[in-house]
Amino acid sequence: MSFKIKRDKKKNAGLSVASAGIRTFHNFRPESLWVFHYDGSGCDGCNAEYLACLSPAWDIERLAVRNTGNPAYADILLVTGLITENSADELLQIYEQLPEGSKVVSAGACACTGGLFSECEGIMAGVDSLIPVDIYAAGCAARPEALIDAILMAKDEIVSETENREEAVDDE
Amino acid sequence: MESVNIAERSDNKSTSLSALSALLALASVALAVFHGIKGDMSVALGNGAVSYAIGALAALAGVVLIINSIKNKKYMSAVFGIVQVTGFACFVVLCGGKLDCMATLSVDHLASTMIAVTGLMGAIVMWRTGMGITVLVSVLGVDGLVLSDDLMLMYLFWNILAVSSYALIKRDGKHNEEMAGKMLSYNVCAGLGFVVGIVVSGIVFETVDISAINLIETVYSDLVAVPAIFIVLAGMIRAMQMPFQGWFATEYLTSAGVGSLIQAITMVNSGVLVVIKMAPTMGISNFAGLMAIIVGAVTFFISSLNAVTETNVRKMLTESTAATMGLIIVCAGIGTSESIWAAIMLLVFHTVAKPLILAGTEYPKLRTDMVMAVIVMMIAPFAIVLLRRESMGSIADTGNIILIIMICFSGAMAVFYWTKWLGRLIAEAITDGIEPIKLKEFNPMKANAWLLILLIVGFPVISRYMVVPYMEGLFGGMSAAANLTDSILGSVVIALAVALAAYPIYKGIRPEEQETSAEDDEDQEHDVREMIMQSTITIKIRMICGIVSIGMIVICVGFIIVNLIGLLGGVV
Amino acid sequence: MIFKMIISVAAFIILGPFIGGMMTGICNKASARIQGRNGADIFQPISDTVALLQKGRNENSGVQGYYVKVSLFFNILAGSLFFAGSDMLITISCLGLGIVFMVIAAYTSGTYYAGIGAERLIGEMVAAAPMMFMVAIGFYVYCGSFDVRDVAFNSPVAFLPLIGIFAGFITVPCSKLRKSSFEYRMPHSMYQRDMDSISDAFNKRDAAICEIASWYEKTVLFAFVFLFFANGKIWMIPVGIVACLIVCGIQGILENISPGLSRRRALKISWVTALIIGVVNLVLVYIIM
Repeated sequence: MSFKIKRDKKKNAGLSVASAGIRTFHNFRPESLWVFHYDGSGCDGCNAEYLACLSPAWDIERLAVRNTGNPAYADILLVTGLITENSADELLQIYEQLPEGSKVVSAGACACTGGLFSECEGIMAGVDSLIPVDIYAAGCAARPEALIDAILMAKDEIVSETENREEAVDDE
Repeated sequence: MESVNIAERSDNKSTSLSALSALLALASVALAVFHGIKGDMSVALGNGAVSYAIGALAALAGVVLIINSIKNKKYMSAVFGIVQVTGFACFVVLCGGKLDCMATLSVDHLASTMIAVTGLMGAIVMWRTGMGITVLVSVLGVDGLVLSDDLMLMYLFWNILAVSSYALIKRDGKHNEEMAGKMLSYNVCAGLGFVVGIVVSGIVFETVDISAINLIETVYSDLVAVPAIFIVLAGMIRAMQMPFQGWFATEYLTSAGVGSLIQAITMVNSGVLVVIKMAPTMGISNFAGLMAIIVGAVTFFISSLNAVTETNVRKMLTESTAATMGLIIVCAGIGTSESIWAAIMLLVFHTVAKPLILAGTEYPKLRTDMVMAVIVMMIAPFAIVLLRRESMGSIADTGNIILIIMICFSGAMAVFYWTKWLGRLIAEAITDGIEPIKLKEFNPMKANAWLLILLIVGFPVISRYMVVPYMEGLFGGMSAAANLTDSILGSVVIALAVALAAYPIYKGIRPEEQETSAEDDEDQEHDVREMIMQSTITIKIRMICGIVSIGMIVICVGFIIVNLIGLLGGVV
Repeated sequence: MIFKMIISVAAFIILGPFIGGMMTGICNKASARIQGRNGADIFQPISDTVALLQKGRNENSGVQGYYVKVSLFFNILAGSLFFAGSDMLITISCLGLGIVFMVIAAYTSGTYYAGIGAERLIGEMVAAAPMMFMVAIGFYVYCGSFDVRDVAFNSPVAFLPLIGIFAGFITVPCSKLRKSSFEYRMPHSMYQRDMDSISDAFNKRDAAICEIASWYEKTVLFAFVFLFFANGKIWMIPVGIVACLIVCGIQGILENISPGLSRRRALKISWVTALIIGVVNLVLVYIIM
């Protein structure tokens, strides 16, 4: 009898080590944020400011933020510039490819509300008429500090959301 | 369209055809087994009258070639042919008595390997194309070539092959007459070289036995290049080397139909086999070897470069054949035991894999077998020449920088075009879908694929028992143990690569629904190809290589002729 | 002997990706420092890939996922053969096979841009392979053998006689060290976005596996760099490690002096460099030996 119990214990022990390992791997929260930058039409001012963020002066790479070319890998969709009726489909296509749990950041006056051009023909007044936006970064052009703040805010939101989700799972 | 015709033809005379092909396969394998049991044998066909008879037959075949050249209005080649036949006839009549040699057919390991491989592939090709007699004659021609120990006998089979290939091309259709004529003139040129070699060998060394010539090599290693170079040149012309390659290869082998399958295993092989048989006489130190090495390397390089920029699949395959032949000739030219080993193994791999790929291009849908063959063709040069440290070691030992550079760069380019094609094939498989392979139907492609698998799996065995003994016979005892372990590792790697690559296609893939872009692959501007194609540097490279190869041939042959004149002067 | 072989192979398989990821991080950090910025952490590539793996936990991959894993297998095989001490030629060929399968995976992903990335990858391999073979031949001529075991333990330090080949080796095959596989790009023009990479159409898990495969490959390349400094004495080990770090620095420099360099020109330059430097060195070594 005791032999059997010992054996069961061993089996469970093995499983729990492996499952603990897997759980640790999944719980291991690496510090890494992938940003996909979508630029509508416009004056490219906010574009230039975002590129400046990547430059040595502001350098968001040291904050573990990474620029990517594939929306499917991204945690944050950063939209700058004006969204026209022609490019609306494009933006929607990109939004559909975002993984769940991603945040949308709209940067610059044109992306937030349409800015200077909100009353022009063919312009959609702000990104949030198309897709739900989580963080707005204002400015014309949005300064790199504002962009970095917005990205970090989005990161905080992601982190707290995943923590809440995991607590809910653990509670079950 | 062609596949339908083939099916009809084979239905009509299917039983006699399958009997013939089965007979051919069995006979070839039986000979190999027999040789394995009994060891090396030779059959002396006798002296005197027999050699006159052989000479007469060879001359007759030559006359047939001349007549056909005249019919095709290729007067230049007719002139060459007449020079050839008269020279040969004079030689036989005047010096035949003085030669103290026996016309012999000798079965050694090289012969049995090549007979087995050619016989099996010939059977498969017969099955596939439905042409019985032509394939049989070509295969027998190659068999005779590899069996004969006597240059005159070899010349007989050489001419038989030329006649049969001419008949083959003519059969393919009316528009091929032009092609047939070109082919004929090409062969006749090669034959001229052969005859010059025979004549020189007979006069200078008073023998036309190949084994005797190889023996002479050990004593007068530089002199023996004198006849050898002409014969090697003849073999190289037939095997599509530079600078003859563009003229002949790209036109014929790309446009022809089923004939190209047969040509791929007999014609090109015959040229290379002649070079391999003369391989012990070549080395880095003598001019025959030097010419073979440099021209072969240049061919490998240029053919790979051409193949990279090709969009037509058949042309690409022809260039790859020329490239592989170039590599084989390089290995034969180096003349050490490991490099000749590499040459023979490469030839065997090529003979088994190439017809599979060629046959596969005619089918609209992809076959697993073809993917396998493509991978084998891609890996074969690497596995055999470069994976084996001895082969690479002997290449490095030659100290010939041009050779090393050529091999390194061409190897990379060879991988380029094979990979590109492989990627496209598999991508097409994804879009079109492939059914899983049903094991029940047994068709020639399947048989070919099984032969290829057998070859890959049995690579160490074939090397140890069929090729290494040939080297031991030529060069004296050699440790076979080192070769074995290397071959196992190499063959495991090849087998893994092939199996892993072909696995998804074997299981069958359902076509995916994806938005195919309107622009399709053929004419896109892909950077490397574009760079190679449009850059003037490539044109310069091609010109330089052409000049180098022509120059090499002229220099070496010229030097040899000067040597010859000196010798003759001394003798007289 | 067998025991040592098993241990070194196991060490490679387990520690390889971490070392590769760390070296990638060091190269990125070096490049960033040269640009005058702080740059990401050394272990950032590892964090990125782990995050990607977690994000892509529940995806299924099609045929291209299979081929990516086959490519990973061949990279691991290449490294295992290297660390088991067998000959260099097989290692180089297996690395080549790894690239070939990655290319096939890219072709089968279906998008046009991945196809471009694939052709560029083959082009990179075509540029790198002759140099790698020249490295092997250089070692053969100088140390007398193709075996890693012999070169590492039984022969003198090969750095100075083979310095030209070393320079060619750093320039050409180590161009893989300069960007991570997510961005296999040298842009067509400076203003082009990083869209045409081979892992473009891979799903997250396959892209992560592609990155791990490239780490194994980088570990093998750094092992080759180490081989130039190995002679079996224990005091050369730190020298080898320092050399690897210096190579990272050099990669950073090379990456930053070629910002406007188009792919085509970079390929041409690297081939010509390899040709000239490597061949001259080879000739000299032949003369010496």
